[in-house]
Amino acid sequence: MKVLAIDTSTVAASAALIQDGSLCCEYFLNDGKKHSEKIISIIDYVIKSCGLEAKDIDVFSCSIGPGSFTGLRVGASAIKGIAQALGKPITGIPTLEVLAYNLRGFKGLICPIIDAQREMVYSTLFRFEGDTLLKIKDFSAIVIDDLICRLGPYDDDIAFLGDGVFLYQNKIKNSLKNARFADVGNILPRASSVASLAIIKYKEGHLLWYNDLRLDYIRKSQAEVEYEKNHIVTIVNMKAEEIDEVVEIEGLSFNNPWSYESFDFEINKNNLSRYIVAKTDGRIAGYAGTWLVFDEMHVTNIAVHPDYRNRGIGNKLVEEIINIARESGLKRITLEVRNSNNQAICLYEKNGFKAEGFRKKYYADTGEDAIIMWKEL
Amino acid sequence: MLKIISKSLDETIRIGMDLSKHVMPGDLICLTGDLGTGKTSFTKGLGKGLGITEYITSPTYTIINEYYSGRIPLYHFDVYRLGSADEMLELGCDEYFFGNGITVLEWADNVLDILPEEKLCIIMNVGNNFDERIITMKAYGDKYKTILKEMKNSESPRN
Ligand SMILES: Nc1ncnc2c1ncn2[C@@H]1O[C@H](COP(=O)(O)OP(=O)(O)O)[C@@H](O)[C@H]1O
Ligand SMILES: [Mg+2]
Repeated sequence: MKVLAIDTSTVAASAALIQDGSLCCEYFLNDGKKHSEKIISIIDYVIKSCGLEAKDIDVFSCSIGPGSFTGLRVGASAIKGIAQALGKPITGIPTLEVLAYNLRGFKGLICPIIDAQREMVYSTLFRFEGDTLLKIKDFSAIVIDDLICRLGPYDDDIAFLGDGVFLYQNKIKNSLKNARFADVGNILPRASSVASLAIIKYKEGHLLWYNDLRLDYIRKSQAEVEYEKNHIVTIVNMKAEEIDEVVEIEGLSFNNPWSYESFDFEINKNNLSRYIVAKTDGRIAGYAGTWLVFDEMHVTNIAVHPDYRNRGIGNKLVEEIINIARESGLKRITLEVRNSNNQAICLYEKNGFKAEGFRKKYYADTGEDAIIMWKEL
Repeated sequence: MLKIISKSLDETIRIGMDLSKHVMPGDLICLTGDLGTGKTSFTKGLGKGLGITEYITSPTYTIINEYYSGRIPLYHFDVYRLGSADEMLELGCDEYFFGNGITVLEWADNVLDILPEEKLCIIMNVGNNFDERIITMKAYGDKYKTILKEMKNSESPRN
């Protein structure tokens, strides 16, 4: 079987031909010029170098993103055009898998990062189990600082690769002592990895006709990019009539949600409690509950509605409770967080909270430990 | 803020050429103004100043034209036909905004929501007579403020 694959998802362009299980020719060009001007001639060169013609190829393949929108379009158009003209099947391979496949056999974790601009990267965490690539965690498009924070708990070596490394290598190196970086030959996606994965797809029967191939840009939605500009989020004290909405968010956020009665007690009877809500679009997007006990603030719960996550609302709530504590002349704030809730831990750390202890098996549902965090004011 | 009165098409082109002396890769220039106020003509001047040899045409139908023959690449957008700012993101506009060239956006107000904070906004209006244009430049961010300062200092008398 003969597979011709290309990759144009970053600044580099490459094409490779695998024939009966062996790599016959691979051409990799990273000259800073545009893909549209070179990819067809590279494909032509690779096929001819193997003594073949385009019609001899059984399957065509390209990476389908994420990556450079323009590069991906150029590559997909080229492959679709050729496959359509020859009536041959094609298969598309996700770029992050292509990158991970560059490091086949690596024993630790593999974290490809592709530049998504605005301090963001596209990333997924992988691990090889034998020859099989396992997806450990999909980060989609994520701010680089958040990614670094969320990789903090992993003890294994983490190999980084992809064009994001060119931008963030120092930052990663300084924050993660278990970070490693792919060598120059493997740092960018390679067409031979696309071809290898295409063969696996072929064996699994995942072939498409040219017009069924879809690119997967993992677009940062406008909502995430500039949400705060258009949607004013206001933070105000929670009122009794808002309990229903808050109970709903509580239920969507926690395994052991507080009941209506608990919130009713907090709002209407507990003199020590102070609850705030974040409002946007006329809805309640999130809330935070606290108790003011002597000179300390105890945070009881913070949650954001699933429709409004990843928009900085959690951060706004945390900032506001810190403000309240300061204005009330308190000395410190404490909270408990589930050991596995890395995203929340990152949020608290960003706001100056430090882990100072554990409560063993604090959470009844999973038997997980709680981390106790403190912030001195 | 810098306000310049242009008395003719040639003057508008000259002002575009003047601006080209002060721009750098990664700069974003947003043009707003009604049809026929000279947004494309201004961009032609900018392109000419960058040493672009190709003929610069309006990207109204292509949405984006790219020019590589000058000192710095020029990415010329006309987003008049776009339905939403989301469509702009779908085009992969971030690669241009944060890329190695100058991005010029005609009808920038259509996609204002997703534009980076830092940019040079140029508003074009018809003046007191048919051939007069009032060109108002507003800088958002330090590097664009510097550009306007440099433009003010080097402004040559036009008559
Ligand atoms: N002072 C001036 N500056 C720019 N264009 C002018 C001027 N006076 C007349 N014109 C005419 O106005 C038109 C501007 O067209 P164009 O640059 O395509 O505008 P836009 O891109 O804003 O729609 C041209 O036909 C040009 O000849
Ligand atoms: Mg125009």
